[in-house]
Amino acid sequence: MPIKTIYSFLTYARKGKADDTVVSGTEIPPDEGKLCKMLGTMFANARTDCTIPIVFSSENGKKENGVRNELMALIDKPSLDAGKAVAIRLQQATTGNSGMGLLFISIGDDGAATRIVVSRFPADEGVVAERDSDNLTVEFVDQVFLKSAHAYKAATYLREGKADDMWKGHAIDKQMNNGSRAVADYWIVDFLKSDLQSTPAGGTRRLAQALRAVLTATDDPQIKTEITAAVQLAGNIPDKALTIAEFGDEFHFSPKTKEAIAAKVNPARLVNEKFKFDSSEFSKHLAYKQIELDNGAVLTAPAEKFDTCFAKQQADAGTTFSTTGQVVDERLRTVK
Amino acid sequence: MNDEELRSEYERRYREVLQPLAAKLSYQLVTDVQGLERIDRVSARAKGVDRFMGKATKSTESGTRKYDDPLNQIQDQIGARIVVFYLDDVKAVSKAIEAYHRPIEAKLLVPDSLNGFGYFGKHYILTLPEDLFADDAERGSCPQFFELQIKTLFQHAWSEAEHDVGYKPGDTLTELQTRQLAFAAAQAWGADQIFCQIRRELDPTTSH
Repeated sequence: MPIKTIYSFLTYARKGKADDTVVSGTEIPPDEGKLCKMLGTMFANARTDCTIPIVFSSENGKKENGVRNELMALIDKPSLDAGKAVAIRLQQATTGNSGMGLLFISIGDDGAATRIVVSRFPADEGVVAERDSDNLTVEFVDQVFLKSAHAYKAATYLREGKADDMWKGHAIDKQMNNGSRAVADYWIVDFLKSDLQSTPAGGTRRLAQALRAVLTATDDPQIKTEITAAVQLAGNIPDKALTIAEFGDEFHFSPKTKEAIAAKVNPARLVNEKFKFDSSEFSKHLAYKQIELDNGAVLTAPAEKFDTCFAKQQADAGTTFSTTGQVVDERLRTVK
Repeated sequence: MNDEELRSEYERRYREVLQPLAAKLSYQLVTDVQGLERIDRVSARAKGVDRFMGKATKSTESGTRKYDDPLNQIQDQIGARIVVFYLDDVKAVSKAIEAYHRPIEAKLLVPDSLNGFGYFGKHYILTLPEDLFADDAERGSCPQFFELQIKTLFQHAWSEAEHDVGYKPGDTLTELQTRQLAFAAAQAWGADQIFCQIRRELDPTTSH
């Protein structure tokens, strides 16, 4: 997959400001140098590195998206000016938190289609150390652009020449779960004017349905206990993007529990699809009702089955709950 | 691709891809609106071969084909419809649909003229949920989007009858026929307004 065209632009933080800053850009002729080799590797690996499926958002309900239009125009007729439009858009989405960055746009063939990779390297400070046979020289550099493991962002799209090309793409954003919403939304929402392919409710429902299917199917008390505990705690998960697999990691599920859950996700690839966790949607599908009595007893059952699990009798002395079943698990817990 | 090849390719797509997808979509949409009241029906269908070909071979006024890539340009190859009782229910269903799907287009269709009565309805073009595609699905033949219409019973009844009598935009109608169609549309519009109003008055807890 050789890159045919590379553009690079220095972008500043101009969100909410009059955009009077000149965007400096250049075309980088593809060659055998180290920079092109690095960009070539990023281009070749874009499909596997950019793992988050995204969809351009409709603008005002119309089948229109300005970023999509600009990227398609750039692919169809590459030019520095067409690239600059994308760089200006990035600049206008950039806050002081994200700061200065170096934008690379690489375009090349991918089979019969054309692929575009847009990536941003944030500016940082660094130290360059050079050693010759006798000496070590150390020098401070105040504008170094790094493919940071904590802030790297990229997106890739495939242009196949079809009428509905490029509504969908893939992204990577190492800061999408940043505590600051401005930082978390910067790349995908604010710059690319896109959303995750799975909606919060859709992704969360998929997770909840898989967990519920495991709880119904399994006889393994450990799997039941792990999932039940996670369900009770899941309401505390913040508004964060995760995959079904990452939900299992979050609660330190055992390998067999993770396997049981993955087996209930159909199609299986969606185990690794990111979505923003929606706690209210989760509790719609998987909730546990818990009642505590003043004598210390705690009764728990799936919310929709609670009233069939426990028969209830009201009397002056208090409420009597009763239930009958086989004991499948018994344990001591230090917390409720 | 000539028309014969287009028909043959669409017939294959219809049989192998669209019909199974429509069945799965229908099930998913039912799940999406589960718990909502006053839903008359939820359905999804693959566009029939003849209807597809009719649309694909349409010409513009200048005589050129309207679609140069109909397999990718025609977006209602899978169409779905949710019919609800009242206008307020359209809002509730729309909210549920937007929670589970990504729209690339959303519009409320109303006649251009304030004095006119004709087609009303909420239309979406939505990405087909990934859950519908098996891991080994041949995605090249699968559409990316589907069209969803959300209508009241009266909107649905009017548009079905209007479609059934065979009137198409551009047909010449007599003055009386034009008035009759407008009258029927106005009746359907009025019935929606009145039932919505009565329901709100009888059940003040109704959200609107």
